[in-house]
Amino acid sequence: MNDLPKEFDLCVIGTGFQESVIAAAASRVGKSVLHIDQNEFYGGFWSSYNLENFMNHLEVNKAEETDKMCKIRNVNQQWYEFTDEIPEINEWNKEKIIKDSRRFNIDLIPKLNYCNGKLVDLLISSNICRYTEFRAVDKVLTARNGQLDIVPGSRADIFTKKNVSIVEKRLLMKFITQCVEYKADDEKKEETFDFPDDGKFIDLMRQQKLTDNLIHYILYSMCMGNDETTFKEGLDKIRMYLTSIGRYGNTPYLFPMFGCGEIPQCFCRLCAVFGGIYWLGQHVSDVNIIDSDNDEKVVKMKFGDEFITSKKLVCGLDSNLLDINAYPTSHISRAVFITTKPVGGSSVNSELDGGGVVLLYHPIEGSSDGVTMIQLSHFTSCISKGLYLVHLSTPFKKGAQNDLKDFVNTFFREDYSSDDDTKPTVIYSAYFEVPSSIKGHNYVDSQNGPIFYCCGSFAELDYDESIRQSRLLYSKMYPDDDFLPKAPEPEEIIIGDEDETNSSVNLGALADLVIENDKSGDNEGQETVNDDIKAENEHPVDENKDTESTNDIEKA
Amino acid sequence: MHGRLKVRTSAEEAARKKKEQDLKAKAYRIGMDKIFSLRSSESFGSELLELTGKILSVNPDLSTLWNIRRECILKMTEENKEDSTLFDRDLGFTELCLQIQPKSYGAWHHRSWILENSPKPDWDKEVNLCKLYLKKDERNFHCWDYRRYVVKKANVSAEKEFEFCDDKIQKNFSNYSSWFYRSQLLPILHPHESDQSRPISEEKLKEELEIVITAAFTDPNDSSAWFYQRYLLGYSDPKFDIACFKLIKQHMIIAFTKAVDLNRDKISIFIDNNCDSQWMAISGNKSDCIWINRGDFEITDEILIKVTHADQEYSLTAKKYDKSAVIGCKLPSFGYEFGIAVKEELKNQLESCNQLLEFEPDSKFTLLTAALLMRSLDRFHYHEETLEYLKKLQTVDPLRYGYYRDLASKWILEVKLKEFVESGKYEKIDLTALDLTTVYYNQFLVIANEIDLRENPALNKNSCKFSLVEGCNVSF
Repeated sequence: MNDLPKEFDLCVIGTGFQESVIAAAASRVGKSVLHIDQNEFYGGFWSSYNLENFMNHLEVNKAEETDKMCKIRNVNQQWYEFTDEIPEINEWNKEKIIKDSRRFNIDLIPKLNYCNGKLVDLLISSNICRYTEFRAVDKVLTARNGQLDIVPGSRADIFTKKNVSIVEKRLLMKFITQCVEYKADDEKKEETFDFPDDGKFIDLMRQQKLTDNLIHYILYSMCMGNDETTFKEGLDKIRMYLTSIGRYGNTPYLFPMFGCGEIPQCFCRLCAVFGGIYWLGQHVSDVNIIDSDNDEKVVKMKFGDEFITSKKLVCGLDSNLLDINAYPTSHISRAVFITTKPVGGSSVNSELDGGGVVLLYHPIEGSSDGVTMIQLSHFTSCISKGLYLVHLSTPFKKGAQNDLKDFVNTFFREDYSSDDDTKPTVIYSAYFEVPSSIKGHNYVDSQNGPIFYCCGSFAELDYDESIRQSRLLYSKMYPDDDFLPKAPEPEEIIIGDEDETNSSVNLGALADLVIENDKSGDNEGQETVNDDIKAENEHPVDENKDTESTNDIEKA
Repeated sequence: MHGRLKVRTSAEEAARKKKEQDLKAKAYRIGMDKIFSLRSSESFGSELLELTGKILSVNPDLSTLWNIRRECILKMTEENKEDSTLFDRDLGFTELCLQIQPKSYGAWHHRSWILENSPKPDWDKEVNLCKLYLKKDERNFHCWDYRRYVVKKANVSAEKEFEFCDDKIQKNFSNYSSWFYRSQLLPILHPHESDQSRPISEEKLKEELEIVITAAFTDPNDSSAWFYQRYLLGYSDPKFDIACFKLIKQHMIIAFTKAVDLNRDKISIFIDNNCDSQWMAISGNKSDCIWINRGDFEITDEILIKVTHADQEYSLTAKKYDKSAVIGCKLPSFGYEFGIAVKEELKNQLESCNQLLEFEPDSKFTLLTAALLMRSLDRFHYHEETLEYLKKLQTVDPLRYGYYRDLASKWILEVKLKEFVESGKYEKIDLTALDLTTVYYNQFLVIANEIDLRENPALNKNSCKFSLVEGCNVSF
């Protein structure tokens, strides 16, 4: 590490989502970036683990249990007790599962993205999308009186849905179309909705004569709302839902292949492509703000025996440098289950494999929050074939186990019965609480540098609030610089001193024709070419003719 | 600039593009010259295949090159007709072209040509290929067309094909190709029990009506389901038949339900078993509904008219009407007569429409469907009501104002025509003050001596073909 530069424009500690976005954005506009993490792996709380590492990571946190807010806490891991009578369930037991540990990618913070959401937009606009791969969520479920049902989201779903009458179909399609077309300042308001922004969404739906069946689908599933959801909130949600659907799949959500740990990593990769330096497994000490030679404040810090100065320092939620009092934090109650069957049994799983990614949002009675379940099969490369990985998340109230108790009892079972296929048996369960930031809190305004602090995850399904916060922080740090402009395509990059040579021209199959012809020296073909070039120079009219024939080829 | 990426500016990129285009044009010209010189020297061989291949793989829409390619392959295989290697290789080549342009007429056609000419065509493989391409784009009509062609060769059962169609409709019902194929398969799988003029059985029809109303309610702005519904309800082309016949001293007139070209369509008309070919289209066009035969004719008590068309025989007996005319007329069939089960389904659908109209009184598609359903149930019983709906549609859907008025004119005329034909009084038909915009069923009206169309201010007189017939007095 002797040749590591001693001065940087920016040093980032922690490779969580927001830290990685800031690092990538700074590197992209030409700042020199040093990005370190105390762990030997990327992502911090945003990382995906194989099964053994996951279990160990939780155990370590359990042993270290402290009052510190920014730690994983209240860990409780359990395996189904296999006996001589039931040595395995559907050919799986603890031993076999642990043997397959490397097939797992288990997230501490699992998230989905709206296909038309901020993350997808950012990945595309910045060209980071080339580093990652997604699977469209296969189905969205909802539950009524403990019975699971597939939410008809897309037009094709609504068309084929059996328990929705044709009149309901029309009402549903009309309502959601109106939601998409609605403009608050529209003069022709009577053609859409004339309804106050803070009125209840459920009242609007009743006013529009939607049936209870439809209200359930729209309010509790598509909007992930409740009876208190306002018109404006509901409208925003449903519009995001509808503009996302059909963009990449039959549902509005995407899940990253190999787990959500891929997301911060692809930002890190962009940072590295533009010259950012990565150093994992590093601790920082002696962090001081000093005056530099030209009277600017800079940060000086110690890595092992060496000192490095950086014009700015960004710290993640999991770094020890965070001033917790200035940084209000809450927790998300989490559970991770391994089962051998998908939830809901055959009634919602027509294809026997239970689909790739299944989302179920279930409101908690008497609360404005709900439980989000993401169930993954081997199609996501997050678990072995034949097993299902179930993620449950809800904002922390009384404790992970307590908060999720009702949901788990409704859809899962702890004992085993071979006849009951509607409630899968939990073979492995882990309950824990993971730190999160609080939505609506202003984390950026009070920060003046040169040390800045990042937020953690938010209790949201996607990354939208995290991205909003990242932009805010970045524009505070670098008010004059663009935020992640499009990275160039490989073919746009000039390598070395390469000039306008033919190698940058892509002729496809036609290339041979030109090359062959050039090689063949003074045969007839050569003359034709020369004549043509002469003609081009002498008669601009002929040029039009040429472009015509070119267009013919271009048509392809 | 150390450590910084060097990226082409947009001006540099434009220059590069220009250069690429120029080079492509150059390559194209070189290639074409070579191809034509090889062809004129009859050097049909691998070089010619290679050259056409290079250009076609960039632009598969050049039919000249496909033709040269076929010529070349035929010459190359002349010696050994059993060898399929060249054909197999070209099959692979078309696939390459289809990846570039999945809607290339030339590439799809070339594929079928290869299979027709190859000694060992593998039709099953082609069916699978279609499946693949229709998965990529379920509305690629080139591929649907090609599919219908290959499944015949591969002997795929209609049941299997129906399943395939159904799956595509469930995934996305905005698919004319699939609805159309459905309408082709259903008469094979579920023919009507007794009536040959009806394409599908009552039971199946009921199910189909359910599917189509579901699609229509899910997305009324998608026209594909509507067109299929019209097919199911029998709004397609009328069946060929004799409409009417009239003989007076100066001429005979025969009219058909649909326009025909007597010469080309091989239609023979026998008047009392005499086949006379002196028929002329009333409009002077090649194809017409109304045909006239001028001469000097005798008024007889009864005339038997027989028409043969496409191995079918149609007949009509005309009777002496008065001392100057012999007239025969068939009551036109305005649509299907459905059985009880289908009528029950139509009633349910009508009820759903009416229920919906309570929520959305101005929904144009519901209004029109309700009207069409009522007409399918009993067009005369619901006549006034359906006209009310059309009137409403003229205000809620002003873009199609003219269409609704024309439709109303048609429905009104159907009622009048029924009264006219059933009354047996053919001297005069009174069509005054009916707010007609156009006159349908021209061919049934030619038997009248007098057609009174006064007080129809918006009437398009060009729609009144019968005014060309001598002895048919029209007053506007």
